[in-house]
Amino acid sequence: MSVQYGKVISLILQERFGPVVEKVGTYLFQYGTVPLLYIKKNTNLPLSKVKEALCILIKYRLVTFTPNRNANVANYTLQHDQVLLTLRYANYINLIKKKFGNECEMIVEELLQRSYWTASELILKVIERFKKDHNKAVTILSLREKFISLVNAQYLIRLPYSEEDKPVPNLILPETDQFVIPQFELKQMTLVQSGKAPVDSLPDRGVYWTVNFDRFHQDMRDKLIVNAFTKKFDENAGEFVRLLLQQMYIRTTPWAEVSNPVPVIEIRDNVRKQATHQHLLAFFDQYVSVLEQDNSQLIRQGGEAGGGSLQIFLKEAFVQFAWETVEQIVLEKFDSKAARIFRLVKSKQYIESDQIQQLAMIPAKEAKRLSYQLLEENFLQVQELKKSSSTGPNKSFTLFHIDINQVIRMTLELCYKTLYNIMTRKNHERLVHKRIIDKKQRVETIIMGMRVQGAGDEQLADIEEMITPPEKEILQKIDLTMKKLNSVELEIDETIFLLQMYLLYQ
Amino acid sequence: MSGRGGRGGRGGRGGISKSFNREQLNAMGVLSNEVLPGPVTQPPPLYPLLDHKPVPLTPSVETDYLLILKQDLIDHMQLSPSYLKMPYDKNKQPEQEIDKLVAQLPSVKEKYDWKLFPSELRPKVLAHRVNKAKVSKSVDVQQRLNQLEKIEEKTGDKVVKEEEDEEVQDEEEEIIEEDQDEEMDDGTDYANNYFDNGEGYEDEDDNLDDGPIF
Repeated sequence: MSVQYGKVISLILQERFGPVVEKVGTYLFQYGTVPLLYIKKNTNLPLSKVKEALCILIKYRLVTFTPNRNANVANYTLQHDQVLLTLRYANYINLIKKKFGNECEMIVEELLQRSYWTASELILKVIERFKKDHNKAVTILSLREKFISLVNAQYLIRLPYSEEDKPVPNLILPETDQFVIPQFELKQMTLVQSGKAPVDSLPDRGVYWTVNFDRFHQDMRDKLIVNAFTKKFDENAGEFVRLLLQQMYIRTTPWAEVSNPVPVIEIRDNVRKQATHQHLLAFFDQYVSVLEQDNSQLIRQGGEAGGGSLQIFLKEAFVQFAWETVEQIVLEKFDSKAARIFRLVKSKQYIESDQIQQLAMIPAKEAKRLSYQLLEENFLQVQELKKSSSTGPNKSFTLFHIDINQVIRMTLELCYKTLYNIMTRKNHERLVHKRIIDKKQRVETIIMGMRVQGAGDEQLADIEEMITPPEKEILQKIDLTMKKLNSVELEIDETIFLLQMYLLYQ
Repeated sequence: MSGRGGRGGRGGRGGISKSFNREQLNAMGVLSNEVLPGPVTQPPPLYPLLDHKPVPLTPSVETDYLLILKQDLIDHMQLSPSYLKMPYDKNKQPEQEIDKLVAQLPSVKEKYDWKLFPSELRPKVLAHRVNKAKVSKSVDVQQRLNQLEKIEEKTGDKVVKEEEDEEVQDEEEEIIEEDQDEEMDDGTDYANNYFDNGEGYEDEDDNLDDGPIF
């Protein structure tokens, strides 16, 4: 992967795990698969720290290992795409919250904080947290049901494990074991909860569960498609597509390029059962015909049998989304005239410089300037064709065209660069205002401590006065800036997701 | 990403030929009497001015919640035992009071299920060895030389200097150091032979010295 990507990885690791792990991770990124001693030699860190850092990285599944030729020693590889995924954890939690509710949200949150855990311990911890934070009493039974529903929906998956006892364990996960529900012994769990039995006595020791990122990506992909249709048509069309996708999963593998035909009647039945979109039910046939005739051609009729069936073209959808994204980027960076040129080259595929001027209806000089600017920024590419007659001057055509794969990868690199800039800026802000941020944290901890001890309101006000009004203003500004930078990070991640989806389907 | 070298000149290493002939200019679409932009004299500015202002972010309840979640996750990671600080440098004095207090905080160690990790990452608890890995066999040169005069053998005259002096205290390092020790043994066979020649050479000298006296 590129240098830019490597820098982003380093910053992510540093933010979450500290400088030691960052050093180890960066070395692994640059030098590929290496054994332990290489890392120790080249990072100049004490061996104990390197071991600790590797343990942490392995725990969070950011590093995997395979045995060396010498079976006692392992070679370590960094899983860099997993590192980038950590930016998306908040999105996953939000998704679960919307779909399943608060209890499942907390289950997934606890799992993401620890990377993997046993089911029983997880349930006990969630109960504890609910009691502390929300003052709500949740029973083990209800949480067990929620956990089982998450496993059945494949949001949680078993962690690969090893049966044998080798120095370098070979971690595998047989297909049959992926979503098997573990044993729960409720009595034992209540004992552990009240502290009467040690944690080791629970029956599902060693059976670890972790978050299944692919499933979340599936949901995010569906959400993208539904949003696109909602924006283009209206709410009801979005609902229609959502149900279509839901029915698709019964007959098609999740990541197929084209769905197998889904009978229209099924969707109609679902709408009737749901009874939420009466409008959709009333005008069902019209919606079907509108969606079919739309010039994006993403939903087409699959067959006439049994009242008709529909197919949705997922690969095609993402190709179109990716094109749209790139066009929008050109629009935002270079203004509408350049965007017009870009769309022109897209429709004509190969076009000469003079033709651009004619067809785009932009004055000659400007057209030339913009097209060469786009060329410089790698949004357009040139192809040279030589047409030489034996006598007379050598004629060579320079044609503009767009190599979408190249452009998409270039845009992805731009996203990485933006991420790096944002994170660096965040660190810079924190550094510059370190003194004032530390002061605020100290004041807060003092206030919390005093509140616990039951101090009076005046004392609390006194302590708060320690932060002067101009300092308060600065703190507010810092807060706003960090909020903005963080939201941009989230948005960039959405773009990265879309582009990654496109590349996945290639 | 940008900076493809202007109008795609030949880009020779010696010098950029800045003038194309008329044909090439025409092919690229430049009318013959236009003024071309001048040569590039310095690298582009580090923070180029934005031509167009980026689209403002739309604040929404959802993004606020996502931000809170994100910040919670990062805070939790930083406070967890998974956040490793750089090893405390005993030479540097902590600058502020707060640093001294922070350094005294007990660091929580993470507990792992070792079945999922390679065994070499486990902290090893061994009996503390008195004999350090520094193999410096006392060399009684004269005696040894006389012994080895007739027998050609590798001498034990090597001082293996360990790099990890700092790790000597660490119990965990014993085995690793031993391994390295063995490696060094294997690796310095050549050096031994070299020394061997040196000893032999000195040997002859001694003999010579002895000769005349005798």
